[in-house]
Amino acid sequence: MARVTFSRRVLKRDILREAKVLKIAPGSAAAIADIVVEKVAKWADGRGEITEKDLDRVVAEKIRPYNADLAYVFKERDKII
Amino acid sequence: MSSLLAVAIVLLSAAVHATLQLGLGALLLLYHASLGKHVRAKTKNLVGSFISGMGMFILLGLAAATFMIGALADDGLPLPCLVGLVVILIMLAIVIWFFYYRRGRSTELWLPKVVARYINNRAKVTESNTEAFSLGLLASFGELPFTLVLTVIAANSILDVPREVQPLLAVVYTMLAILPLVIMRISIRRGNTVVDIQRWRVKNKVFLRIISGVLFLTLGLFLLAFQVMGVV
Repeated sequence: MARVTFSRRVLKRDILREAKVLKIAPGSAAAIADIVVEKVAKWADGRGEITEKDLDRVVAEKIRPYNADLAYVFKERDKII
Repeated sequence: MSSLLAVAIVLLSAAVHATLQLGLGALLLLYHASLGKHVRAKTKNLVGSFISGMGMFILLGLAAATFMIGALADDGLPLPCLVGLVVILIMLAIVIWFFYYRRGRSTELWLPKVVARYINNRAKVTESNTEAFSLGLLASFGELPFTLVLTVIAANSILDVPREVQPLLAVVYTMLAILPLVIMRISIRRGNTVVDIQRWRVKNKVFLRIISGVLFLTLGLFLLAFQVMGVV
């Protein structure tokens, strides 16, 4: 299982990139990214080790109320082939 | 074997080839990675190169197989080889039905994780047309366990049509085999997103698996009826 170090900057960049793929307006994408990064940071805080899979799952969970398609992208990461 | 029967076998083989999912999955990954990084024109070029790479691999493979069978056997493949091909097709139908996709609500394939991760990573870092072309070659190469037998069958049938029609038939096979990729490209250009396509693939996974297996089996029975029994 690939372990990752949580980084606000990397997560925000990832969310904005995926939002661009889905043609979400940049303003909305930035707003969603800021909220979700904060929520995920709170979750990650104090956890010693985080796997890539866990991080994608939690990001998908936190994004879902704002955009279901964007959440789906994180949920399906590395599951296409 | 009549030319009409030969054409039918080539078309059926190409249809079976078109049902395989590795190329589609790799193209979807490339689309996804590229749309997040590049302008649409660049993505369009990368996708075009990827499809060209897959098409080139299929066409050259088919040409090579046709040449080799033509050089080694004057009257096409002998009966024991045809029987062997039928058995392999039936086995592949079973593999498609039961093992091709991994379990769960995803479109993950039978590929070893290392290979899937490699293709995934390659799709993410593909920046140039050459890299996209070689990713297409790689995706075609990854499908070889399933496509090799189809290529041999099509090549054997291509030898049964008049020489001047043979290149055309090889091109038609290639076009049919890459048709799903072209449809996906058109679908995204018409406004569908990568998510729409992936949702469709997940929703219809069982249907795709059944169709693919049935086509493998049909091709096997077709060969058995018209080539093996026909010769016997």
